[in-house]
Amino acid sequence: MSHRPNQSESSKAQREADDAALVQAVRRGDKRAFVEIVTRHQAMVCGIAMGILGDFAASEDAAQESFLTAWRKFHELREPSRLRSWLAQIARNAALGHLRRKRGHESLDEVPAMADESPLPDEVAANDEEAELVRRSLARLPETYRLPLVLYYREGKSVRAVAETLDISEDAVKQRLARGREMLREEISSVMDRVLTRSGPTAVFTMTIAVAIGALATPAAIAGAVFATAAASSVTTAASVSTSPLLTAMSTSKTLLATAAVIVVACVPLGYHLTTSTPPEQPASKSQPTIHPVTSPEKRTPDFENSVMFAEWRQLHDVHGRTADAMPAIYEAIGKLGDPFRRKAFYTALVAEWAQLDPALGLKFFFEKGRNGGHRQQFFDEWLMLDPAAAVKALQEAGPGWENVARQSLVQIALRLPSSVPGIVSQLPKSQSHWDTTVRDAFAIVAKNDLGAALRAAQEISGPNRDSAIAGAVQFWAQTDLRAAIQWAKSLPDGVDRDEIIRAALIGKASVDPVAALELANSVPPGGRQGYFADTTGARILREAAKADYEATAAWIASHPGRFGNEDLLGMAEETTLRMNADIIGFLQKRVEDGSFAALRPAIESALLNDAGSQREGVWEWLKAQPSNDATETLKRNVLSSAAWDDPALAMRLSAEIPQTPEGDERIRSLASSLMNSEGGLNRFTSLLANSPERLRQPIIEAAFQRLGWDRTADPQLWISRLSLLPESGRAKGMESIARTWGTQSPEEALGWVSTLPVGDARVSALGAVASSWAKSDVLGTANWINHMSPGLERDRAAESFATVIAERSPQDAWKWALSISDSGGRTRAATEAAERMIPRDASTARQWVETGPFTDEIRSRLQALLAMRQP
Amino acid sequence: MKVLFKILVLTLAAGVGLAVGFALRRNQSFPNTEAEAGNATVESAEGLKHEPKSRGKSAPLDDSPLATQLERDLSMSQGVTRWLLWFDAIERATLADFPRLIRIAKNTPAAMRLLTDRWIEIGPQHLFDTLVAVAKGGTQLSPDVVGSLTKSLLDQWTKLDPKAILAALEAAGDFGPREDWCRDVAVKIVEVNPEMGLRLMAEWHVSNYIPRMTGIAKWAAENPGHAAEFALAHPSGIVTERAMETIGGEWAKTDPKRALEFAASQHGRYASTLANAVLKEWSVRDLKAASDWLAAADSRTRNNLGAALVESWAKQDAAGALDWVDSNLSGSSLLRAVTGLMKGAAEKDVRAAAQLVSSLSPSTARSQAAMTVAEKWFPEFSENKPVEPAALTWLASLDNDSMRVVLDEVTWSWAGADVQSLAHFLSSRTSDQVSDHSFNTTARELARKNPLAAMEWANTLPADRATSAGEAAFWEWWHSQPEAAITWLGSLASTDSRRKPLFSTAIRNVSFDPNAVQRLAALPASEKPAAMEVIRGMQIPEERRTRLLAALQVP
Repeated sequence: MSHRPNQSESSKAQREADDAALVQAVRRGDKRAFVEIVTRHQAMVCGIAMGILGDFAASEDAAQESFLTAWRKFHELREPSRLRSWLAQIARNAALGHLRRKRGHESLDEVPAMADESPLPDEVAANDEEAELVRRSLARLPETYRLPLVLYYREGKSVRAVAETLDISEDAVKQRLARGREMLREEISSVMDRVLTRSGPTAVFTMTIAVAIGALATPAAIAGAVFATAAASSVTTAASVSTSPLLTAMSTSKTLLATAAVIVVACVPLGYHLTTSTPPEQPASKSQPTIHPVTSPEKRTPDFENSVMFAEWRQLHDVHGRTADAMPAIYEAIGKLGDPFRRKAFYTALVAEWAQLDPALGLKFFFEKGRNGGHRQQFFDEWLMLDPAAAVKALQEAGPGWENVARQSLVQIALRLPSSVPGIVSQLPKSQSHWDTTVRDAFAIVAKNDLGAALRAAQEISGPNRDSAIAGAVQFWAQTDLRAAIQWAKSLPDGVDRDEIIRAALIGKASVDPVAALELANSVPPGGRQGYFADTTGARILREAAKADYEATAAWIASHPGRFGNEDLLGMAEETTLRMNADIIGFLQKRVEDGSFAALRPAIESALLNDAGSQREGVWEWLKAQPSNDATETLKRNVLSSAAWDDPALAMRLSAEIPQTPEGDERIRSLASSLMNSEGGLNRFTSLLANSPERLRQPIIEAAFQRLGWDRTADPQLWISRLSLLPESGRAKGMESIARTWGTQSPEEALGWVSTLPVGDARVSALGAVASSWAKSDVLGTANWINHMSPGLERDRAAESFATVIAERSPQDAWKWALSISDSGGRTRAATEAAERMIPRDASTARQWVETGPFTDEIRSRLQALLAMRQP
Repeated sequence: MKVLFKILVLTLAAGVGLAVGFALRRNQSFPNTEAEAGNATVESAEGLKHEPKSRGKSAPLDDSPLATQLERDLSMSQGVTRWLLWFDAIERATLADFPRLIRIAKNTPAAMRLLTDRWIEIGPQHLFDTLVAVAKGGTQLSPDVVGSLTKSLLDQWTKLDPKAILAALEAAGDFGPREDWCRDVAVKIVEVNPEMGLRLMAEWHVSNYIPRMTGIAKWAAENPGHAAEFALAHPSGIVTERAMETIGGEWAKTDPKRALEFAASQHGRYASTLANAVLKEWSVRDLKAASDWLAAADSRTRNNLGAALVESWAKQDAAGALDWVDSNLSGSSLLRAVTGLMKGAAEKDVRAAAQLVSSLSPSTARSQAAMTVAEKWFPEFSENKPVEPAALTWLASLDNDSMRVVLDEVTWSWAGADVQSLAHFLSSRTSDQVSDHSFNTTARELARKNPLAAMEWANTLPADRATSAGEAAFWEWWHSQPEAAITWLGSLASTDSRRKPLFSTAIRNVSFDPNAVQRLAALPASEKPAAMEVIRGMQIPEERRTRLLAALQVP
């Protein structure tokens, strides 16, 4: 029967392995690894010191001394996995040494429980009455009971940790804890918990050690400091810390040679970094750290590479304290800082510190009403990194707003505590964002760990996120076995969006094997939402495929013409943009060579209209050397129109290159139309006209009046004043446009203006335009007005416009209005409109109209053809 | 003496070690010295292009030892230590370090924010140049990181030094997103320097992006007359609209009558906007004075400004405002006023406004009012939430015209947010209540998700709409799954009246597709003769018809 380690055993083994790895790193000269050791074990080391000394300040001094001793004697540690016990022993010795120095050379065994009962310095809650109460109470306990108690609270209330540290059994720890508590007064217990838990060492402690060992200096500076100290042989306390092992080691010539060899090797990497590691603007002298042990809070102020920020950070702690209790005050103090950068930076650091010191209360604080959402999110993320299980549990119990935090961090939760994801997802509401893929992404990660479990868990989820969860797991699965994933998706019960699951499978596959996914892309409906950019199945698959292998994707598209529509191909736009911006000619040339140029045109055009807009001129130049065909001509038009929208100056420059041919004239008119149809086109009419080449002027004026007819906000009076820009032959159209826009704004005023026009065709057209605009917003009002008009051309034109507008809604009414028109041309046009609308609705009525209506032979046969297409 | 000797030996050893390391560094650095001599901006951009994954045997040059060190330190740290390491790195970072540091920070939003702020603080031009280089040369850095850096830079640098960023934009020449950057900068400048911002927006023709109006409000409060004149002299679409609304609101606080006089002396939509804004704010502050003023005004002014008055009035007393509208306005002015009134009422209490609509007699005004309430009550386009049951009940209770107008207004967003409930609602409506637009949009949206269900749904609609909706759904289906769609069509009974119209519509639609030739060629041979018949009956240029028919020729 094999031994299966339980959780505590395995976590202990893991910790020992981690310790061993850190020890190896330190032995390789990695000072940052030592800082990590400090971070991991400072609570224990300070706890032992506190347990022996019973004095918060003195215990930190002793703890610092312990770590510095450990640093000096690191080579003496024979079993890296026993690091914790070794540090505990050093801590004990250091604390006892402190005690000895304070009380003279008494026998350690004779040391009474507590030595110093004088008032405490102003740190670590020292001014707090509770701290004083705890200190005095602890003083009454023998060390046998005091040490386990202190360690218990400092080590996260872990009996096992205390047992390991003191090298006694867990039962023994429990007994001593119970006995110790009994010996204290009942009322002190809760205070003890609070004070000892929150008075643990903070990051400032860690950083102080880090600075003292030079771990935060640049390599060049470390080297400089070490050798400057050695050369000077100055026997300062600081120097003795770093040089005494060296000097000791030099006692024999063999050792001297070995030491010299080690130094040569050690200095190679230092020299390697020497040229660049020191920022040029920083004088070398500034970056030389002073290595010295810290013996008192006053002397502990680190220069930290002359870091102003660290000094301010430390100052905040000096003023407000370093315990969890001090966190709200520091938070408030940071809020009052004037410099936004510091405010942001210190908030960030404080949130992290708080998550280390007292995550439960910290989370409560950040979940209070009105707290900063970003800080709340970061707080959870920090805690999640430190203790995923506790953080997730606390979040789920945090109250209103937890879902948002969970959703934001879901991917991280999936990475750190995948087992919790299904439970969280079950409780999350449906996302308000169409683009939110958090649940899907998280489940893809969960599936990476255990696909079967992820699929089962996803299916068991209740609530609106079930399909997304299944999709996430399937997305991962499909990367290795697309067909199996699709087959499984097809077997899912009703109520699951099977098509969306299959889409996820295809998207997953596209990310590793584009061609395999593309082959099956149209096995599901388009999905997505109308009006959303590149939201179809094809677009989503193409987006992933292009990211994974653009060339293979383009080649596949080239060899499968017509398999994707324009909307699908927009999925390629993002990757296309990157490539166009990197090398436009190379990109286009490649598309011609692999035959994908025509097929990829929608993506290229989208890129040109957006983030590859600066490539328009390059594309234009390249196009000039290409043979004329559908694709190149369409792209030319696109370059012109997109330039007209985004960069009118370029559009006008390019217009000079348009040939003086009928086709060229048509292109110029199209360009003018694009200029006017662009954002704010009518607003920039004057400036465009002023800057346009002669050939473009008239087309711009005509395009402006054409555009005016569809604008609902243009100023009619302004455009009346511009009518003279039009040639005589174009004025009637111009007036019609003005009437149309005015009719949408104020039909009564528009009619008032039209009535001032001379009787004739222009006035008739203008009246028709007003009727058309008005009918769109007020059918009854318009009908009433027309009914009161005198018979004649004006009334006929108004009725024709009206009938055309209402034909979509009510072909029958439109038909009646059409038949009321005297003018045969108008009657035919209106009747045709009504009949065309009636054909898809009621073919037999439409047929009757077509047979008896006022149509020309040509129109009648066209309508009959339309009818024939719709009838069996 | 012995000690001195030993120290000398050790110092020499150290020196040798340092020299070897230095030499190695120099050797590796050699190619970089050329790069360093080049443009710092390009170098930074190159830095952004390198991904850490390419390290190893052919590792790229260490362009930022500080970042390398930080990356290593962070990998061994946790909690606050990480942030103190970040502080240390950020304080010591030179501009050249930032591209690498940003890469390290890209998955840590808080670090990204700190770095970005610092980069902007110490070298906004460097960040600008780096981003321009990225835009010009492409990058493997994720677009969201580039987007986030750009947004922060344009936002913060514009606030700090608008002239500098304008100069940078001018000097940068053409690059991909230049227009977007100019627009964002102009929008931001309006907030800090309204005159400069409005002038830029007019010059750059930025007319569809609305800045925050706080800066304009402050500026207008100081001298509303000047602000109004300036804004009118630099028109720029909706920006000027919003500016005039803000200026009007401010002017009304001090001298509404003067403001209205000024507006009356101008012409055009912006002057009208100004007048409306003045009256709206005035009626909020002093309803009686505002309504007295309007009652005494000429009929044209009354018609034009009635909507503004009642919008505010409706928030206090919707029924009273409605009475006033009924007795004072007519025609399109009445419709506009009802719209304004309902807007105000719906903002205060959408359910009460809906009740008010229900109490009106069927009319165009009621339809307009219903539409205004629906705009507030139904989900917006990007909202992913269902329609409230109370809203559905209210909509079902409206007269035919009002229901049709409301549906025309909300179908698009409703279909996106919750197409099933829309389809369910429409399936029990008559042709008089729903336009083709609503039926067809719903059919298309359904077809995107489940084409078969969409076809079935269309077939249950009133006979005069079933074909049209079916065609819309079928085309959507064929667009993405032509084979499946054709197969389904073939499976219909020969007597099914849908066969011919669906096929005809699909062929007509595909004929306008850029890939029409390929798509038609891919049709099953059995369907090609019918397709040719459709194309022969279409009104298209002969040259195109010939090409399409050629694609349908069976070899």
